[in-house]
Amino acid sequence: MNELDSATWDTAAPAEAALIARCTSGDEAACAELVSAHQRMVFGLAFHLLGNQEEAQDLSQEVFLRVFRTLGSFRGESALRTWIYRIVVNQARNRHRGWLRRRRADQVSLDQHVAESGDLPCHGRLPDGVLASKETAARLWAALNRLPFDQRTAMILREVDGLRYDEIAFSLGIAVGTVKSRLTRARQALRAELLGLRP
Amino acid sequence: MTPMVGCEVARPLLGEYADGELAVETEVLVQGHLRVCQACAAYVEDLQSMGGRLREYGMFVPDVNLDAVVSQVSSRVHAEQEWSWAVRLRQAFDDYRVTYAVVGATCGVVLCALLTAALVVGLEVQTAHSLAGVMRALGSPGSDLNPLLLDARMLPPRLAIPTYADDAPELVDLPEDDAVYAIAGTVTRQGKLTDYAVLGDTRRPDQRHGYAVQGPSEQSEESVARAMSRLRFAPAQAFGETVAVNVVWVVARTTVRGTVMPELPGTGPQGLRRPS
Repeated sequence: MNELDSATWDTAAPAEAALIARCTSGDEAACAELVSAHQRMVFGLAFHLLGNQEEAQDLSQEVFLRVFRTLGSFRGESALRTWIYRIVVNQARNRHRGWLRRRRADQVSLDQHVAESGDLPCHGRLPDGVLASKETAARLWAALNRLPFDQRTAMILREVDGLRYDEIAFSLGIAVGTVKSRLTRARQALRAELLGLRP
Repeated sequence: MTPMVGCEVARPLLGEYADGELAVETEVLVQGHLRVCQACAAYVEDLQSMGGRLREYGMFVPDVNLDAVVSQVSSRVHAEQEWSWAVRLRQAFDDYRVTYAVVGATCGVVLCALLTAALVVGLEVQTAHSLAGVMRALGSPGSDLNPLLLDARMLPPRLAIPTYADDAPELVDLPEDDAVYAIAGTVTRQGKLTDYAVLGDTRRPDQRHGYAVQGPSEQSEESVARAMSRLRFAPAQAFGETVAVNVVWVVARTTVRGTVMPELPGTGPQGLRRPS
Protein backbone atom coordinates (compact mmCIF):
# COMPACT_ATOMS: atom_id res chain seq x y z
CA MET A 1 0.00 0.00 0.00
CA ASN A 2 1.18 3.48 -0.69
CA GLU A 3 3.01 5.04 2.20
CA LEU A 4 0.75 8.07 2.23
CA ASP A 5 -2.35 5.89 2.36
CA SER A 6 -1.56 4.82 5.87
CA ALA A 7 -1.40 8.41 7.08
CA THR A 8 -4.77 9.55 8.25
CA TRP A 9 -6.03 13.07 7.72
CA ASP A 10 -5.64 13.84 11.41
CA THR A 11 -1.97 12.95 11.44
CA ALA A 12 -1.20 14.37 8.02
CA ALA A 13 -3.03 17.66 8.38
CA PRO A 14 -0.71 19.52 10.77
CA ALA A 15 2.39 18.60 8.80
CA GLU A 16 0.71 19.47 5.52
CA ALA A 17 -0.64 22.72 6.87
CA ALA A 18 2.84 23.73 8.03
CA LEU A 19 4.35 22.83 4.67
CA ILE A 20 1.65 24.75 2.82
CA ALA A 21 2.11 27.79 5.05
CA ARG A 22 5.84 27.78 4.34
CA CYS A 23 5.24 27.42 0.61
CA THR A 24 2.75 30.27 0.46
CA SER A 25 5.16 32.51 2.37
CA GLY A 26 7.73 31.96 -0.37
CA ASP A 27 10.00 29.45 1.32
CA GLU A 28 11.93 27.86 -1.54
CA ALA A 29 13.04 24.90 0.51
CA ALA A 30 9.43 24.13 1.38
CA CYS A 31 8.42 24.34 -2.29
CA ALA A 32 11.20 21.96 -3.22
CA GLU A 33 10.11 19.64 -0.43
CA LEU A 34 6.53 19.66 -1.66
CA VAL A 35 7.59 18.90 -5.21
CA SER A 36 9.93 16.14 -4.11
CA ALA A 37 7.26 14.54 -1.96
CA HIS A 38 4.69 14.39 -4.73
CA GLN A 39 6.55 14.41 -8.03
CA ARG A 40 6.75 10.63 -8.36
CA MET A 41 3.04 10.29 -7.70
CA VAL A 42 2.20 13.11 -10.13
CA PHE A 43 4.43 11.77 -12.84
CA GLY A 44 3.08 8.25 -12.41
CA LEU A 45 -0.54 9.30 -12.70
CA ALA A 46 0.25 11.60 -15.63
CA PHE A 47 2.10 8.79 -17.37
CA HIS A 48 -0.77 6.34 -16.83
CA LEU A 49 -3.34 8.84 -18.06
CA LEU A 50 -1.41 10.11 -21.06
CA GLY A 51 0.72 7.05 -21.89
CA ASN A 52 3.65 9.20 -22.94
CA GLN A 53 6.80 9.91 -20.96
CA GLU A 54 7.60 13.34 -22.38
CA GLU A 55 4.05 14.50 -22.07
CA ALA A 56 3.89 13.18 -18.53
CA GLN A 57 7.03 15.12 -17.58
CA ASP A 58 5.68 18.25 -19.17
CA LEU A 59 2.35 17.78 -17.44
CA SER A 60 4.11 17.28 -14.09
CA GLN A 61 5.74 20.65 -14.44
CA GLU A 62 2.44 22.29 -15.34
CA VAL A 63 0.76 20.61 -12.40
CA PHE A 64 3.26 21.92 -9.86
CA LEU A 65 3.10 25.38 -11.34
CA ARG A 66 -0.65 25.21 -10.96
CA VAL A 67 -0.23 23.94 -7.42
CA PHE A 68 1.96 26.89 -6.43
CA ARG A 69 -0.31 29.40 -8.14
CA THR A 70 -3.40 28.16 -6.32
CA LEU A 71 -1.93 26.87 -3.10
CA GLY A 72 -3.17 29.97 -1.31
CA SER A 73 -6.75 28.94 -2.06
CA PHE A 74 -6.31 25.43 -0.63
CA ARG A 75 -8.42 25.22 2.51
CA GLY A 76 -7.76 21.65 3.56
CA GLU A 77 -11.12 20.32 2.40
CA SER A 78 -9.20 17.21 1.39
CA ALA A 79 -5.73 15.82 1.80
CA LEU A 80 -3.12 17.73 -0.15
CA ARG A 81 -2.38 14.58 -2.11
CA THR A 82 -6.02 14.28 -3.24
CA TRP A 83 -6.09 17.96 -4.16
CA ILE A 84 -2.99 17.49 -6.30
CA TYR A 85 -4.60 14.42 -7.88
CA ARG A 86 -7.49 16.62 -8.88
CA ILE A 87 -5.15 19.08 -10.57
CA VAL A 88 -3.39 16.27 -12.41
CA VAL A 89 -6.68 14.85 -13.66
CA ASN A 90 -7.92 18.25 -14.82
CA GLN A 91 -4.68 19.06 -16.62
CA ALA A 92 -4.60 15.62 -18.20
CA ARG A 93 -8.22 15.95 -19.29
CA ASN A 94 -7.40 19.24 -21.01
CA ARG A 95 -4.52 17.63 -22.83
CA HIS A 96 -6.61 14.61 -23.68
CA ARG A 97 -9.23 16.82 -25.30
CA GLY A 98 -6.57 18.48 -27.40
CA TRP A 99 -5.16 15.11 -28.30
CA LEU A 100 -8.60 13.87 -29.30
CA ARG A 101 -9.07 16.88 -31.51
CA ARG A 102 -5.75 16.26 -33.19
CA ARG A 103 -6.29 12.63 -34.00
CA ARG A 104 -9.76 11.22 -34.20
CA ALA A 105 -9.20 7.52 -34.23
CA ASP A 106 -11.95 5.28 -35.51
CA GLN A 107 -12.14 3.15 -32.45
CA VAL A 108 -15.07 1.13 -31.23
CA SER A 109 -15.28 1.66 -27.50
CA LEU A 110 -15.71 -1.27 -25.20
CA ASP A 111 -18.82 0.37 -23.83
CA GLN A 112 -20.25 0.23 -27.31
CA HIS A 113 -19.16 -3.38 -27.61
CA VAL A 114 -20.91 -4.25 -24.36
CA ALA A 115 -23.99 -2.36 -25.45
CA GLU A 116 -24.12 -4.30 -28.70
CA SER A 117 -23.29 -7.72 -27.22
CA GLY A 118 -25.37 -7.36 -24.09
CA ASP A 119 -24.26 -7.19 -20.50
CA LEU A 120 -21.90 -9.82 -19.31
CA PRO A 121 -23.28 -12.58 -17.13
CA CYS A 122 -22.00 -12.54 -13.62
CA HIS A 123 -21.41 -16.27 -13.70
CA GLY A 124 -19.10 -16.20 -16.73
CA ARG A 125 -15.71 -17.16 -15.37
CA LEU A 126 -12.51 -15.99 -16.98
CA PRO A 127 -10.60 -18.92 -18.40
CA ASP A 128 -7.95 -20.28 -16.09
CA GLY A 129 -4.58 -18.77 -16.64
CA VAL A 130 -5.81 -15.79 -18.57
CA LEU A 131 -4.75 -13.35 -15.90
CA ALA A 132 -1.50 -15.11 -15.25
CA SER A 133 0.02 -14.38 -18.62
CA LYS A 134 2.19 -11.29 -19.03
CA GLU A 135 0.87 -10.84 -22.51
CA THR A 136 -2.63 -10.82 -21.16
CA ALA A 137 -1.70 -8.24 -18.55
CA ALA A 138 -0.37 -6.03 -21.30
CA ARG A 139 -3.59 -6.49 -23.27
CA LEU A 140 -5.57 -5.73 -20.15
CA TRP A 141 -3.66 -2.47 -19.83
CA ALA A 142 -4.18 -1.74 -23.49
CA ALA A 143 -7.90 -2.34 -23.03
CA LEU A 144 -7.81 0.04 -20.09
CA ASN A 145 -6.25 2.68 -22.31
CA ARG A 146 -9.08 2.27 -24.78
CA LEU A 147 -11.68 3.07 -22.17
CA PRO A 148 -13.22 6.54 -22.11
CA PHE A 149 -11.04 9.00 -20.24
CA ASP A 150 -13.33 9.31 -17.22
CA GLN A 151 -13.68 5.55 -16.74
CA ARG A 152 -9.97 4.99 -17.25
CA THR A 153 -9.14 7.70 -14.73
CA ALA A 154 -11.46 6.19 -12.14
CA MET A 155 -9.93 2.74 -12.65
CA ILE A 156 -6.37 4.02 -12.41
CA LEU A 157 -7.08 6.06 -9.30
CA ARG A 158 -8.73 3.04 -7.71
CA GLU A 159 -6.59 0.12 -8.80
CA VAL A 160 -3.17 1.70 -9.30
CA ASP A 161 -3.16 4.58 -6.84
CA GLY A 162 -5.46 2.88 -4.36
CA LEU A 163 -7.70 5.89 -3.67
CA ARG A 164 -10.96 5.45 -1.78
CA TYR A 165 -14.24 6.18 -3.50
CA ASP A 166 -14.65 9.55 -1.78
CA GLU A 167 -11.12 10.55 -2.74
CA ILE A 168 -11.75 9.55 -6.34
CA ALA A 169 -14.98 11.54 -6.27
CA PHE A 170 -13.12 14.65 -5.07
CA SER A 171 -10.32 14.19 -7.57
CA LEU A 172 -12.75 13.89 -10.45
CA GLY A 173 -15.21 16.44 -9.11
CA ILE A 174 -18.11 14.00 -9.22
CA ALA A 175 -20.43 12.21 -6.79
CA VAL A 176 -19.47 8.93 -5.13
CA GLY A 177 -22.39 7.23 -6.90
CA THR A 178 -20.94 8.29 -10.23
CA VAL A 179 -17.59 6.84 -9.22
CA LYS A 180 -19.27 3.49 -8.52
CA SER A 181 -21.07 3.44 -11.85
CA ARG A 182 -17.92 4.38 -13.76
CA LEU A 183 -15.92 1.66 -12.05
CA THR A 184 -18.64 -0.91 -12.73
CA ARG A 185 -18.81 -0.03 -16.41
CA ALA A 186 -15.03 -0.02 -16.74
CA ARG A 187 -14.75 -3.45 -15.10
CA GLN A 188 -17.46 -4.89 -17.28
CA ALA A 189 -15.66 -3.60 -20.35
CA LEU A 190 -12.33 -5.06 -19.22
CA ARG A 191 -13.91 -8.43 -18.47
CA ALA A 192 -15.51 -8.38 -21.87
CA GLU A 193 -12.08 -7.90 -23.36
CA LEU A 194 -10.59 -10.73 -21.34
CA LEU A 195 -13.47 -13.14 -21.96
CA GLY A 196 -12.61 -12.99 -25.64
CA LEU A 197 -9.05 -14.15 -24.95
CA ARG A 198 -7.59 -17.60 -24.74
CA PRO A 199 -4.55 -18.41 -22.60
CA MET B 1 -28.05 -16.09 12.17
CA THR B 2 -27.00 -14.12 9.09
CA PRO B 3 -29.88 -13.40 6.69
CA MET B 4 -29.29 -14.60 3.15
CA VAL B 5 -29.60 -12.39 0.08
CA GLY B 6 -29.95 -13.42 -3.53
CA CYS B 7 -27.83 -12.66 -6.58
CA GLU B 8 -30.12 -9.79 -7.61
CA VAL B 9 -29.24 -8.00 -4.36
CA ALA B 10 -25.61 -9.04 -4.08
CA ARG B 11 -24.54 -8.59 -7.70
CA PRO B 12 -24.59 -4.75 -7.82
CA LEU B 13 -22.56 -4.71 -4.61
CA LEU B 14 -19.77 -7.01 -5.72
CA GLY B 15 -17.55 -4.24 -7.07
CA GLU B 16 -17.76 -2.28 -3.85
CA TYR B 17 -17.19 -5.53 -1.92
CA ALA B 18 -14.04 -6.23 -3.90
CA ASP B 19 -12.86 -2.67 -3.19
CA GLY B 20 -13.65 -2.93 0.52
CA GLU B 21 -16.04 0.01 0.36
CA LEU B 22 -19.14 -1.62 1.84
CA ALA B 23 -20.44 -0.95 5.31
CA VAL B 24 -19.77 -3.76 7.75
CA GLU B 25 -23.34 -5.09 7.91
CA THR B 26 -23.68 -5.04 4.10
CA GLU B 27 -20.32 -6.69 3.75
CA VAL B 28 -21.47 -9.48 6.06
CA LEU B 29 -24.56 -10.00 3.91
CA VAL B 30 -22.52 -10.21 0.71
CA GLN B 31 -20.03 -12.57 2.33
CA GLY B 32 -22.93 -14.83 3.30
CA HIS B 33 -24.11 -14.83 -0.30
CA LEU B 34 -20.63 -15.54 -1.67
CA ARG B 35 -20.39 -18.63 0.52
CA VAL B 36 -23.31 -20.19 -1.27
CA CYS B 37 -23.01 -18.66 -4.78
CA GLN B 38 -20.00 -19.86 -6.70
CA ALA B 39 -20.73 -17.64 -9.73
CA CYS B 40 -20.66 -14.42 -7.70
CA ALA B 41 -17.64 -15.63 -5.77
CA ALA B 42 -15.83 -16.30 -9.03
CA TYR B 43 -16.82 -12.84 -10.28
CA VAL B 44 -15.36 -11.23 -7.19
CA GLU B 45 -12.21 -13.30 -7.63
CA ASP B 46 -11.94 -12.11 -11.24
CA LEU B 47 -12.32 -8.48 -10.16
CA GLN B 48 -9.64 -8.86 -7.53
CA SER B 49 -7.33 -10.63 -9.96
CA MET B 50 -7.88 -7.93 -12.58
CA GLY B 51 -7.20 -5.25 -9.99
CA GLY B 52 -4.05 -7.03 -8.90
CA ARG B 53 -2.78 -7.32 -12.46
CA LEU B 54 -3.52 -3.67 -13.16
CA ARG B 55 -1.77 -2.64 -9.96
CA GLU B 56 1.18 -4.79 -10.82
CA TYR B 57 1.37 -3.45 -14.35
CA GLY B 58 0.79 0.09 -13.15
CA MET B 59 3.78 -0.11 -10.88
CA PHE B 60 5.88 0.22 -13.97
CA VAL B 61 6.72 3.87 -14.40
CA PRO B 62 9.69 4.98 -16.52
CA ASP B 63 12.64 5.79 -14.33
CA VAL B 64 13.19 9.36 -15.33
CA ASN B 65 15.23 11.92 -13.49
CA LEU B 66 12.62 14.12 -11.91
CA ASP B 67 15.12 16.42 -10.23
CA ALA B 68 14.90 18.59 -13.30
CA VAL B 69 11.21 19.09 -12.56
CA VAL B 70 12.03 20.66 -9.21
CA SER B 71 14.55 23.09 -10.67
CA GLN B 72 12.35 23.95 -13.65
CA VAL B 73 9.31 24.54 -11.50
CA SER B 74 11.36 26.58 -9.07
CA SER B 75 12.80 28.79 -11.80
CA ARG B 76 9.40 29.30 -13.40
CA VAL B 77 7.81 30.18 -10.08
CA HIS B 78 10.62 32.64 -9.48
CA ALA B 79 10.17 34.18 -12.90
CA GLU B 80 6.43 34.48 -12.39
CA GLN B 81 6.94 36.13 -9.04
CA GLU B 82 9.51 38.53 -10.40
CA TRP B 83 7.34 39.53 -13.32
CA SER B 84 4.07 39.57 -11.48
CA TRP B 85 2.16 42.84 -11.55
CA ALA B 86 2.26 43.19 -7.78
CA VAL B 87 6.05 42.97 -7.70
CA ARG B 88 6.54 45.29 -10.65
CA LEU B 89 4.13 47.80 -9.17
CA ARG B 90 5.94 47.70 -5.84
CA GLN B 91 9.27 48.25 -7.60
CA ALA B 92 7.86 51.16 -9.54
CA PHE B 93 6.77 52.84 -6.34
CA ASP B 94 10.06 52.13 -4.63
CA ASP B 95 11.92 54.87 -6.53
CA TYR B 96 8.90 57.20 -6.94
CA ARG B 97 8.94 56.73 -10.70
CA VAL B 98 5.23 56.69 -11.00
CA THR B 99 4.21 58.39 -7.79
CA TYR B 100 4.12 61.86 -9.29
CA ALA B 101 2.50 60.58 -12.45
CA VAL B 102 -0.20 58.85 -10.43
CA VAL B 103 -0.79 61.94 -8.29
CA GLY B 104 -0.92 64.17 -11.37
CA ALA B 105 -3.25 61.83 -13.18
CA THR B 106 -5.49 61.63 -10.15
CA CYS B 107 -5.65 65.40 -9.86
CA GLY B 108 -6.38 65.64 -13.58
CA VAL B 109 -9.19 63.15 -13.31
CA VAL B 110 -10.69 64.99 -10.34
CA LEU B 111 -10.41 68.30 -12.19
CA CYS B 112 -12.08 66.85 -15.27
CA ALA B 113 -14.84 65.41 -13.13
CA LEU B 114 -15.47 68.78 -11.49
CA LEU B 115 -15.43 70.55 -14.85
CA THR B 116 -17.85 68.06 -16.29
CA ALA B 117 -20.15 68.44 -13.31
CA ALA B 118 -20.06 72.23 -13.67
CA LEU B 119 -20.88 71.98 -17.36
CA VAL B 120 -23.73 69.62 -16.71
CA VAL B 121 -25.17 71.88 -14.03
CA GLY B 122 -24.65 74.98 -16.18
CA LEU B 123 -26.26 73.49 -19.23
CA GLU B 124 -29.40 72.77 -17.29
CA VAL B 125 -30.24 76.52 -17.34
CA GLN B 126 -31.95 76.99 -20.68
CA THR B 127 -32.23 80.34 -22.36
CA ALA B 128 -35.55 81.27 -23.94
CA HIS B 129 -33.97 81.53 -27.37
CA SER B 130 -32.29 78.16 -27.30
CA LEU B 131 -33.83 75.32 -29.27
CA ALA B 132 -34.76 73.55 -26.04
CA GLY B 133 -36.30 76.76 -24.70
CA VAL B 134 -38.32 77.32 -27.88
CA MET B 135 -39.52 73.71 -27.86
CA ARG B 136 -40.47 73.95 -24.22
CA ALA B 137 -42.40 77.21 -24.87
CA LEU B 138 -44.20 75.67 -27.85
CA GLY B 139 -45.09 72.69 -25.74
CA SER B 140 -46.91 74.81 -23.15
CA PRO B 141 -49.30 77.24 -24.87
CA GLY B 142 -50.75 79.84 -22.55
CA SER B 143 -47.62 80.02 -20.44
CA ASP B 144 -45.74 83.27 -19.95
CA LEU B 145 -43.26 82.13 -22.57
CA ASN B 146 -45.93 81.32 -25.14
CA PRO B 147 -48.86 83.70 -24.61
CA LEU B 148 -52.10 83.14 -26.53
CA LEU B 149 -54.00 85.50 -28.74
CA LEU B 150 -57.24 86.75 -27.27
CA ASP B 151 -60.37 85.32 -28.77
CA ALA B 152 -64.07 85.44 -27.97
CA ARG B 153 -64.01 82.27 -25.84
CA MET B 154 -61.56 83.76 -23.37
CA LEU B 155 -62.21 85.95 -20.42
CA PRO B 156 -59.93 88.94 -21.17
CA PRO B 157 -57.60 90.41 -18.58
CA ARG B 158 -59.26 93.08 -16.47
CA LEU B 159 -57.54 96.09 -15.01
CA ALA B 160 -57.43 95.83 -11.25
CA ILE B 161 -58.45 98.91 -9.31
CA PRO B 162 -55.51 100.14 -7.24
CA THR B 163 -56.04 99.81 -3.54
CA TYR B 164 -54.18 102.92 -2.60
CA ALA B 165 -54.13 106.28 -4.28
CA ASP B 166 -50.35 106.08 -4.53
CA ASP B 167 -50.67 102.99 -6.68
CA ALA B 168 -52.69 104.80 -9.32
CA PRO B 169 -50.61 105.46 -12.39
CA GLU B 170 -49.99 109.08 -12.97
CA LEU B 171 -49.75 110.54 -16.41
CA VAL B 172 -48.56 113.94 -15.36
CA ASP B 173 -46.10 114.21 -18.16
CA LEU B 174 -48.62 113.63 -20.86
CA PRO B 175 -49.15 116.58 -23.15
CA GLU B 176 -52.25 118.54 -22.50
CA ASP B 177 -53.39 118.15 -26.06
CA ASP B 178 -55.35 115.21 -27.29
CA ALA B 179 -53.27 112.12 -27.67
CA VAL B 180 -53.83 108.49 -28.63
CA TYR B 181 -51.40 105.74 -27.60
CA ALA B 182 -51.32 102.18 -28.75
CA ILE B 183 -49.75 99.88 -26.17
CA ALA B 184 -48.80 96.28 -27.01
CA GLY B 185 -47.80 93.85 -24.29
CA THR B 186 -48.33 90.54 -22.59
CA VAL B 187 -50.47 90.04 -19.51
CA THR B 188 -48.86 87.17 -17.65
CA ARG B 189 -50.55 84.54 -15.54
CA GLN B 190 -49.61 86.61 -12.53
CA GLY B 191 -51.41 89.62 -13.98
CA LYS B 192 -48.30 91.66 -14.74
CA LEU B 193 -47.83 93.49 -17.97
CA THR B 194 -44.57 92.50 -19.57
CA ASP B 195 -42.82 93.05 -22.87
CA TYR B 196 -44.91 96.16 -23.39
CA ALA B 197 -44.14 98.81 -25.92
CA VAL B 198 -45.75 102.12 -26.77
CA LEU B 199 -46.37 102.02 -30.45
CA GLY B 200 -45.46 105.26 -32.13
CA ASP B 201 -47.58 107.15 -34.68
CA THR B 202 -45.52 108.79 -37.35
CA ARG B 203 -48.43 110.40 -39.19
CA ARG B 204 -48.89 114.10 -39.04
CA PRO B 205 -51.94 115.24 -37.08
CA ASP B 206 -53.50 116.89 -40.09
CA GLN B 207 -53.41 113.61 -41.97
CA ARG B 208 -55.77 112.01 -39.50
CA HIS B 209 -59.42 112.07 -40.13
CA GLY B 210 -61.29 114.37 -37.79
CA TYR B 211 -59.06 113.78 -34.76
CA ALA B 212 -56.65 116.25 -33.36
CA VAL B 213 -54.35 113.50 -32.32
CA GLN B 214 -50.78 114.11 -31.32
CA GLY B 215 -48.16 111.41 -31.76
CA PRO B 216 -46.27 110.37 -28.65
CA SER B 217 -43.27 112.37 -27.82
CA GLU B 218 -40.23 110.72 -26.20
CA GLN B 219 -41.13 112.28 -22.87
CA SER B 220 -44.73 111.12 -22.99
CA GLU B 221 -43.66 107.58 -24.00
CA GLU B 222 -41.54 107.31 -20.89
CA SER B 223 -44.40 108.54 -18.79
CA VAL B 224 -46.79 106.02 -20.31
CA ALA B 225 -44.27 103.21 -19.94
CA ARG B 226 -43.74 104.10 -16.30
CA ALA B 227 -47.46 104.03 -15.72
CA MET B 228 -47.78 100.70 -17.56
CA SER B 229 -45.17 99.06 -15.38
CA ARG B 230 -47.36 99.70 -12.35
CA LEU B 231 -50.53 98.33 -13.79
CA ARG B 232 -51.96 95.10 -12.33
CA PHE B 233 -54.53 92.92 -14.05
CA ALA B 234 -56.76 90.03 -13.25
CA PRO B 235 -55.22 87.50 -15.68
CA ALA B 236 -57.10 86.17 -18.68
CA GLN B 237 -58.78 82.81 -18.42
CA ALA B 238 -59.40 80.12 -21.00
CA PHE B 239 -61.30 76.92 -20.25
CA GLY B 240 -61.16 77.69 -16.56
CA GLU B 241 -57.39 78.09 -16.44
CA THR B 242 -55.28 81.18 -16.11
CA VAL B 243 -53.38 81.93 -19.30
CA ALA B 244 -51.00 84.58 -20.53
CA VAL B 245 -52.25 86.59 -23.49
CA ASN B 246 -50.96 89.17 -25.89
CA VAL B 247 -52.99 92.35 -25.83
CA VAL B 248 -53.01 95.75 -27.53
CA TRP B 249 -54.67 98.74 -25.87
CA VAL B 250 -55.58 102.00 -27.37
CA VAL B 251 -55.39 104.75 -24.77
CA ALA B 252 -56.88 108.11 -25.80
CA ARG B 253 -56.60 111.38 -24.00
CA THR B 254 -59.11 114.00 -24.92
CA THR B 255 -59.15 117.54 -23.63
CA VAL B 256 -62.56 119.27 -23.64
CA ARG B 257 -62.28 123.00 -23.83
CA GLY B 258 -65.17 125.25 -22.96
CA THR B 259 -66.02 128.45 -24.91
CA VAL B 260 -66.71 131.91 -23.29
CA MET B 261 -70.26 133.14 -23.95
CA PRO B 262 -70.57 136.83 -25.20
CA GLU B 263 -72.14 139.21 -22.64
CA LEU B 264 -75.75 139.93 -23.46
CA PRO B 265 -77.43 143.35 -22.86
CA GLY B 266 -78.98 143.59 -19.46
CA THR B 267 -76.82 141.01 -17.95
CA GLY B 268 -74.20 141.45 -15.36
CA PRO B 269 -70.53 141.04 -15.70
CA GLN B 270 -71.01 137.27 -15.59
CA GLY B 271 -73.42 137.52 -18.49
CA LEU B 272 -76.40 136.76 -16.37
CA ARG B 273 -79.44 138.77 -16.57
CA ARG B 274 -80.23 140.56 -13.40
CA PRO B 275 -83.74 140.05 -12.25
CA SER B 276 -85.74 143.07 -12.62
